[in-house]
Amino acid sequence: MRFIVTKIIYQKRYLILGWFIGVLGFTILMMYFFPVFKNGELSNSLKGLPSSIEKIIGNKASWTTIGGYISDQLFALRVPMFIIILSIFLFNSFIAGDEKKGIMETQLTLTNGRTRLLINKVIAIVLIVSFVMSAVVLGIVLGDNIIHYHYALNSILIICTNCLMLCLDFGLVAFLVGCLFGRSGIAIGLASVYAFGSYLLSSMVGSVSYLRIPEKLSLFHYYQNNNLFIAKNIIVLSVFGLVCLIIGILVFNFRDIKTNS
Amino acid sequence: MGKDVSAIEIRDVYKSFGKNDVLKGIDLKIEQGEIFGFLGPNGAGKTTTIRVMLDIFRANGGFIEIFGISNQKIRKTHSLIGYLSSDMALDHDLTGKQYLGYINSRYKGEFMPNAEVLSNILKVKLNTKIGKLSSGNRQKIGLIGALMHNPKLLILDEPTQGFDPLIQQVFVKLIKQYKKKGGTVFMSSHILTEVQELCDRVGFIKDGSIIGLKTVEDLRSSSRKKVIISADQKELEKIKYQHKSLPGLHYISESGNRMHLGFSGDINKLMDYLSTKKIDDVSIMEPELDEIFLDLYRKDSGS
Repeated sequence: MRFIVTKIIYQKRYLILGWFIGVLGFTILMMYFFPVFKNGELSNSLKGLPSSIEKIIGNKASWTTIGGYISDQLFALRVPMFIIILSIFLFNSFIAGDEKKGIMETQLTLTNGRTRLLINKVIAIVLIVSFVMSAVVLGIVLGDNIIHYHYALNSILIICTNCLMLCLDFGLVAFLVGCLFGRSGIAIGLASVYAFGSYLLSSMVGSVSYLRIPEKLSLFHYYQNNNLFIAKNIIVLSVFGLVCLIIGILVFNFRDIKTNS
Repeated sequence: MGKDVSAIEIRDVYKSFGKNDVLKGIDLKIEQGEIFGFLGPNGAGKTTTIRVMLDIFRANGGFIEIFGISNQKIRKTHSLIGYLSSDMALDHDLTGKQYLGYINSRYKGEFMPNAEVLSNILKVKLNTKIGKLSSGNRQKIGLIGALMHNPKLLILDEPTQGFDPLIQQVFVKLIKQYKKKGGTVFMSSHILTEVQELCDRVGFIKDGSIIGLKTVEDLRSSSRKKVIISADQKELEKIKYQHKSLPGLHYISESGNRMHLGFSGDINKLMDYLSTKKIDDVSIMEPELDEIFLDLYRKDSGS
């Protein structure tokens, strides 16, 4: 247990394993359903739905290709939703959560500087979330083999990277709020409301024209749930995450640590 | 880090939470090799002072140096400190051994053999998960964590809360051994016998201000001794009405043919005074620290 990063990963080993298996199973199951979607059995029963609803359940036309299906059925909502929940949970747990339990105080009475401690925690969380995201990659590859379709690994990696950045950004919102206030409830609440609000804005913007400008505040606006690598979007998501990280660390360095007594 | 540098120097430190001023210009200097007791009632500011020293709370004014290094240089100062508090949060999902292994790595040394020795002395199992240990045993793990890396300074915030009387004795022995090796201790405690047994000097804090700073010996000699006199009723009546003729002698109470008095001053003058009285017996006792402590607070609050 020499490093903060390995200590955190060790402490969360069962959670990591559980999420990995769960996400892997879910992805394989979703891949297994692809032939049903492709053969049009579902699309016939969904005829005539408004475009806003289509945005939520996915574009029927895209279900005929494996790439379109993965993009719409896995990466439009389901995978980001799971990984956002994990990301917010972890960032909250190791920042505001540790502060609430008094663990942060104990850690800071050792030789850990505040910045160093936070950076180590962020590295550990990024590694955990990336590992769970790798279950999606593995699930798609295994699913491909089960249903005998092929989707290029390169495309899977691009779409997973886009998704990972989005999910880490929402987690970093929880990190920022935790660093600002040291309160677990506020961190989870604000990060979840922002994630849900972002999704709602981006799914409604197709049918409500006046949402076009505010929708730019939604992180989903910059999220590509397909195999396109758009540099501008990646830059926005990266800068957003970095800004949350830097402001969080700066504020954390200047305030009192919450204690459990 | 020279020998002439103070272990802790706190100068004019202020701390407030919102409109609540908790520390109001604390000044303290603790020398190397000293065991300093920090006493005060609940809410006086003891734990806040310690947390400001450890940079857990940021002071609103003043400065603190640990062995001549600013307390905000955590990595330097904390490598010299061992810390234990009564409500220390430990990682419940690690075993004692894993937790102490982590502490060992933080101090970049090979201190696990020390941890093993201390765990045998304190009789605590290191292979059990911390979450499954009793609060007393968790406190023991915290104490091992504070001592195992041979720190130059121990900061203890009510360290023996949760310890049974036997382990409290072991704790006293460990601290005495630590002092012999040249260690410095800053300790807040409510257990006055412990402070009396261990400390060279004590500081009293009330409402965020230091109201007294004395060696334990000075405190005892400058405080009222308890004097119990046995004599017949007539003689006791005389003493009751004439006791003010000896400065420093105070009447306290009377029951049967015994009278309780308090005395602060030159003991020879008291003996001279008593020799002029027809008394059957006299006992003169040193005051206990808790009586001195209560006396000091009463004086400060004007009651």
